[in-house]
Amino acid sequence: MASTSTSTLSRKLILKSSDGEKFEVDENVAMQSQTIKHMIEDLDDINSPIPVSIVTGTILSKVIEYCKKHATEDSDSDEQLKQWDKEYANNMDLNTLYYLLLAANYMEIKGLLELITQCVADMIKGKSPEEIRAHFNIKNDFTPQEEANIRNENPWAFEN
Amino acid sequence: MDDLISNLPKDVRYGIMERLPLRDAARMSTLSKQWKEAWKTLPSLVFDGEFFREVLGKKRYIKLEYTNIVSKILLQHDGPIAKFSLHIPRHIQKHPDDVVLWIMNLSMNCINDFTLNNWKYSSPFKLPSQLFGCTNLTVLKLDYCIFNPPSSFKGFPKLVCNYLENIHFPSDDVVGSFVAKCPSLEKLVIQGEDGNDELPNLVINAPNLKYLTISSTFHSICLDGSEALSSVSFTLQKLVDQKKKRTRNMIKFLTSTCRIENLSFRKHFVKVKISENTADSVEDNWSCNLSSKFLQLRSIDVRLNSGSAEELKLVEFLLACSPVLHTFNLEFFEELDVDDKMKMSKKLMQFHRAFSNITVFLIFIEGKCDR
Repeated sequence: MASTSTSTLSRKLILKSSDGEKFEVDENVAMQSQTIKHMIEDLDDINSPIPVSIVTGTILSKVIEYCKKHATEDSDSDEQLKQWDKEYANNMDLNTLYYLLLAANYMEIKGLLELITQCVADMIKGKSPEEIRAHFNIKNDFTPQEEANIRNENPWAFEN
Repeated sequence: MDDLISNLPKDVRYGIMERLPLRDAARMSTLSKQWKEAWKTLPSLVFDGEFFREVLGKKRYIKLEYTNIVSKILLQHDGPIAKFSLHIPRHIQKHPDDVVLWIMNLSMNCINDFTLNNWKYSSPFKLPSQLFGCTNLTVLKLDYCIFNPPSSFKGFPKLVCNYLENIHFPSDDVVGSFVAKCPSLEKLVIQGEDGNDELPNLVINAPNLKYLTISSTFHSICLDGSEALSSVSFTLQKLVDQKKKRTRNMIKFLTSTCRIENLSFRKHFVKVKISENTADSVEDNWSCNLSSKFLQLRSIDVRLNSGSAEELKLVEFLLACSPVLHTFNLEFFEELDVDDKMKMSKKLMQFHRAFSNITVFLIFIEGKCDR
């Protein structure tokens, strides 16, 4: 958390989600998003709410939770921060992870994007194509012959 | 539940595949047409040691297998390759032609991140000149290669990060003239494991260089012009006879460079620095080198050898000319005799009183000091 001395200096911004929910955050928290950083530069009146058009309130609150944690320096060691990240990502269901990925990508928050991308990659690693399809509900649009052909292009990937 | 992952933006899906071992990414090509397309256009191909072990498994004796697989993937690939990483295992040592072909293919591909790790116990890999035509490179990491830019080399204008490990440099000034042609360089790491390859007189003039690590056997280093340096680490792997080489000042730097925040001297470095100064006092010699104070130096890392008066003098000098220093890691060998330890702790206590705002960490390392 920001100390009182810095929070009095830091400006407040209002972020508005796609469903109209408003969040007041410290500028240094919001500035972790490159997209917002650029928006502020072009903004005349920073007191008006900044629309984060494709992100819902539920997701935006989670994004802000991440940004707050990563905005304060020195309070946690790298190790503690990593642990926090891990728990943060593990508490999300697949749906939330997907919308967080979209939000992090749109808002250009590098750390959050990396964290969630890695989390999804970890779900895929070591699984067979069938298991991956089942996990993510991916529809197989190949004919059996087409699928066999693709496997034959890279047989090394399917041998154990 | 809907298929959410397939509807992610392309770059995000590439991001997921790039965080997987190549084998898992290739398996995803059979998920659906969309993922097949993603595999064929994946901008990052990492053929690392893990890939080599996983793919060949027990079939490692089949020499051609590995090259065939890599060649086939490159042939199937349909789109720009931004990142390429290759581990050259022992078995394809006899087929460097393939590797040369792959690199030629990449040089036409706007590659910006290139890594090559060659199997250590073979002969160093001779880099094809085409690599030096990849002017979009931002990251270049090489291990166990012969580094010889062709005379036509125009430079890597965008190169930011360069690792050169266990590299054979065919002539003295290769590093200097290479670095001078990479104006954007911010990070340079030169490491030689055994220290057998000497880099006699290094000249590093890189206006944007921030991080410099040199761990090798060198006679002198000149950093004139590298004014943005903020973190510097020198490790001298082997002792060199300074008198024979007639290099008076081992390190010529910091005449104008005072932005350094982290400084680290390891292995034989302090020893040479001191023996070199026997004629003058440590202070005189260092202060003429370090004409200005380390105005921004926040952390120092030094390995001492015997805790001699000269070494302690050097420590004191570094403490005195670093006004904003807050950590000083001092390593020395555990097997110092009791007298030396006593002397050293006494002196350090004095430093502690004089420089109370600095935390000094003493690190004992195992092994004998060689005097």
